Amino acid sequence: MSEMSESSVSPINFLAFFLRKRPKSIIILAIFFGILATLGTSAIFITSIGVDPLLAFYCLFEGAFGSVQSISETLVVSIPLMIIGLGLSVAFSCNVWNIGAEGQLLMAAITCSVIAIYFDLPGYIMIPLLLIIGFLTGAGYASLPGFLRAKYNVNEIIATIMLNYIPIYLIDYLISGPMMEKRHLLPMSDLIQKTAILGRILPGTRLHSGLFIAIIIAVIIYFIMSKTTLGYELKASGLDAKASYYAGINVKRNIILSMIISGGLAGLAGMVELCGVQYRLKQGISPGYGYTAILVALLGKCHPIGVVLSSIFFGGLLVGSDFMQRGAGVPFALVYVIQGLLIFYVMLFEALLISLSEKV
Amino acid sequence: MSLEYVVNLLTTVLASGVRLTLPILVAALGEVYAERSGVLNLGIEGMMEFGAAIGFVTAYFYGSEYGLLAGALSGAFMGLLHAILSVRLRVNQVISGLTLALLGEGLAIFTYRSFFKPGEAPRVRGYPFIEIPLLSQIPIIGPALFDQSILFYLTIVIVVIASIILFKTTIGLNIRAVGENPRAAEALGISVYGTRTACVIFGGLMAGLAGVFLSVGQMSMYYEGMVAGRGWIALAIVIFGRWSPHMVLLGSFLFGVVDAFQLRVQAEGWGIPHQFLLMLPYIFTLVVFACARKAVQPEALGLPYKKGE
Repeated sequence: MSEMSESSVSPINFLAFFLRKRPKSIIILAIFFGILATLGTSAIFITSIGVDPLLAFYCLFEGAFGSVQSISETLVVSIPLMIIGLGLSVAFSCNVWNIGAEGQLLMAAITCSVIAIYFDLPGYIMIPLLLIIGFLTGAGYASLPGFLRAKYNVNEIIATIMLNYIPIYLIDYLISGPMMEKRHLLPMSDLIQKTAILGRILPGTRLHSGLFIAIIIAVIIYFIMSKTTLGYELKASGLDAKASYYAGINVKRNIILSMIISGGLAGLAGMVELCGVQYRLKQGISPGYGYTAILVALLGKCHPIGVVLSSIFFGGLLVGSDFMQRGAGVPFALVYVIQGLLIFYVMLFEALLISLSEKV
Repeated sequence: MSLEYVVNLLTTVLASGVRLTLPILVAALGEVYAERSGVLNLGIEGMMEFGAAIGFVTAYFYGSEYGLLAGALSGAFMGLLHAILSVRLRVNQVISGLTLALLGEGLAIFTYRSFFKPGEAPRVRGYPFIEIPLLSQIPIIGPALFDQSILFYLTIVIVVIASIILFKTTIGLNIRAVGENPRAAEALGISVYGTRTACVIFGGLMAGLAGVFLSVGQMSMYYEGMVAGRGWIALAIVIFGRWSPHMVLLGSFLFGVVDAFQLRVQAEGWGIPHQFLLMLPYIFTLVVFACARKAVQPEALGLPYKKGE
């Protein structure tokens, strides 16, 4: 089929031939068309509520990347998305569907806030300790569904989602009860110790040193997934569990391990959010980062570089939408539509292009 | 604790338990059909949310009965999207479902916010209650079974019909054949794509309907995130109920009673912080779900099918 005879050279045939020879171009084209289709569909939604879509898109872009201030805000939001998304990309590559990052993040925010508020430790002990506690809490909370899946084949999607709801209520209980701030006026905890705060790295903005943590994690995950046997085994288990098992790969261990990595990183994101942005335990410490990060990992095709780029993209969308609401009067909720539509269209075009490349 | 108190407690918990069962039961029934045909639909949480919002907005402007129709249709539309991706284009069903779950939430909130400003909390008229004379006077179970919203009677009819179609008719046989062994089914002249697409759209329709049951039927209002995991719980119940409508009825009812019980305890104030009671339905679902692990699922569930390979 790969020979191109004189009669079969039509644009369609040429495209199919090109896509077959360059499989990576499929995903790039799919993302390109996906963004166009998402913009088009969102424009219809925006017009339907009586707003000029060009104004709305201008506000969206301006709010996300228009100034140093807005770029740094975008990065602030990207940090937790990047950290969680990197972890989820490991789990998804291993065919482990950890949808519980939100709960793992919140659990870690709880344990870290207990230490960061009530223990007076010097910074060089406090920060490393919190990083470890955050990781371990998230990993521990994720290992339960991981264990159930590996040992008893209990569906991890439903198990992790059920576990998302528990810390929401636990935080609610803590901040209106045992951990309520000293004045007992508002449902939130006291501020964390000064030594637990992740410092700001750009004067006049909220950008904090959690960015370095996120970048270091990206490098580590990239290294593990593409340069080590462990990464190879994780991906092999995900692609074909049965074949991997017969090839001597410990699939069950890999399932639990990928849960621990993804849960641990979600926990780390909880620590970074607490110590870099919020400084206290309160409701809404994560505006659904654990769910958005699923889309971040999917758009990034579960590849570390893709995840880093898509987390910045999604961070920009979230920050820009806030500006779009104030500047153009478009409800903030449109951002959730845009996010969902984008992944939907990218999947759609990717599948269409793949079937096109196979057809001719 | 007097006898009168216990009888009263049982009566009210059962009656509200049955009410709380309905949305989950309806969503789970739809999912039974989708999964029996071999397609996992993880999007039902978002489809319920979308149905709840569209159903509410329609009920607000045109009346509650049109709310049911609009909610069901919006769910069916989301089901169609899932069918296009996962049946025809053979996209990973988990990824497609998760995306639609999140997209549905977004569409729901955006739709609602396009009509109502933050701070507004409009309400609509719910659905009429029908009290069956004499039978509703039976102690304990009377109010639960014979003094209910019209939605309850409608749901019971749906359960019976769904069960008969799935196990006693050719249509049901075809659906199950497609979910067990699509290649053999195709060889017998059953359209795998057609059957699966229809089942997934039906699943979406039921999820949308379940959303309206929740927003217009139960609460008479809509608020962001009101489905609160019921779609995921419905998925757990489908597995717990081994893909059969009457077992799903039982599973949903168990969940409804637990939910009603924790609400009742909250109202009575037994000294347990209400946050721990609110966790109860999720913990209960997780525990029951983890114990129901031995279930045998439809053979071809979750596997994409390609014609003529």
